[in-house]
Amino acid sequence: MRIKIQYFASLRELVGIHMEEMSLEEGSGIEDLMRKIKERHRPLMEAKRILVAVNGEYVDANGSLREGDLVSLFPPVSGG
Amino acid sequence: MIEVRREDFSVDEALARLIRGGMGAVVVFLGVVRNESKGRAVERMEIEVYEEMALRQLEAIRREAIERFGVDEALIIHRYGSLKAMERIMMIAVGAAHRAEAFEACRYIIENIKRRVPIWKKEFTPEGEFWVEGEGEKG
Repeated sequence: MRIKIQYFASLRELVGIHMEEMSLEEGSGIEDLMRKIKERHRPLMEAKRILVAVNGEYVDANGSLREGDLVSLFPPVSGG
Repeated sequence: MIEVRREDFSVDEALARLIRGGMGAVVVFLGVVRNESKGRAVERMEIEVYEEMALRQLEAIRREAIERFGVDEALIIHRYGSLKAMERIMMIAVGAAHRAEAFEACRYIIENIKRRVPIWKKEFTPEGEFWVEGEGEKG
């Protein structure tokens, strides 16, 4: 399945891009995706904490994924 | 009652949208760009937002505050883009019959914005650029 990934703030700078696509095996979850992303983008290892949202909603590390999902990765938020 | 925008906003216009009969107390919170951070002079700030998700989170926080504290209405405006020291970053206004619940609801909103809403600040100082360390607990 194809997944879209977008990066924000310090993670966008570490990775060097805002958005990309990735192919994953059917049945893959957030953990599988994160492993693959960290292999592709080694600088992400420097990130202390990464928050994950799927289609605009926060998810846990054990969440599942579906074809066409938009996964957003970002550091702890600092608005306000 | 929820807005994410680049331009500055008018507090008076926002309050005119918020205030209605039955309100006896309106609490307003303004967040502004401080001119120093961790001993460094801050010249300006860049604020980045994941807009679609931020709007959804802000609306959820607004509704929670209204339900939890029984206030009449709550308004939230948050800016993004490049902001100089002393410029306004955000505004929260809560209208209620009485002051106690208005203060509590306002506090609830700002604390939850800092925890949940996907917005990030980067400070520009003579010593370089620094992302503001987030307090986010979600995820």
